[in-house]
Amino acid sequence: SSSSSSSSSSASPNPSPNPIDMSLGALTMRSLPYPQPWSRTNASPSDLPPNFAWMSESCGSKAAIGVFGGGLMGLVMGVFMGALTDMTPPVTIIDGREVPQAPLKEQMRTTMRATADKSVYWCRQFAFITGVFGGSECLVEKYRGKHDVWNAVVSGCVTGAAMQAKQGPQASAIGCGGFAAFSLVIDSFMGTHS
Amino acid sequence: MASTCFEKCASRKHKENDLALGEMSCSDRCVAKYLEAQEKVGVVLQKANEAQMAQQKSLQDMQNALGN
Repeated sequence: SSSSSSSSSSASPNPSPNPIDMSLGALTMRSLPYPQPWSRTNASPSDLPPNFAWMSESCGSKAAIGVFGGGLMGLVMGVFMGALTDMTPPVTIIDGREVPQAPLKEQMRTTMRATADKSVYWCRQFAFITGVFGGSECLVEKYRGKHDVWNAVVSGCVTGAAMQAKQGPQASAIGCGGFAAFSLVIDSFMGTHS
Repeated sequence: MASTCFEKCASRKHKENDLALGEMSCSDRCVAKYLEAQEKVGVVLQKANEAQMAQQKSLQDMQNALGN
């Protein structure tokens, strides 16, 4: 350590200032009582085991997982919503007489088309929401360095504003407030914070 | 260092077994700050130590000169 090395150094009249090595490996070698196994500076990438921390810890991967997961959930939701709401035709009886309906195959085809369109719509919406929420929550939490409910509130605001971005700043503000409140309620009950 | 950074960064209610992202970035920053502070303190202490050694040496030289 530095305090023990001073006793061995000779007290020269004009000690030349050495540039201090501030790399993390050098810092740990100087500051800790014994070399730690994780502070190798000479290990080439082939010596260390493959590091997959980026898959679970990076914000880009969280956003990508949110997009895919949200899209999948949106597809399922869209199938449900489309199948449940597009069953009955809008008009069946005019002036007491039944309106002739299209043959069953045509009706089925129209229902399928409407379900597919709804499913794609919900897929896109959910993918956007989940991706933006996940990515922004990761960024906010990494910046703050704390794990509590306010990360979700801020990222809820960001997501709500991004959802309404095309309808102007007032709609963005309302979306921000609404989604932040919703996210606060949900994460208070279901979050993993203290 | 471990106990200091754990006190500052990790929460007490353990709902997950892994460090959360915020706790991870907090502990990274804590360790980097601790090591840097220790390095700076070490440099200052070394200079003070060297100055003291030089002073002691000059005092001893004076005593030897007076004695001889």
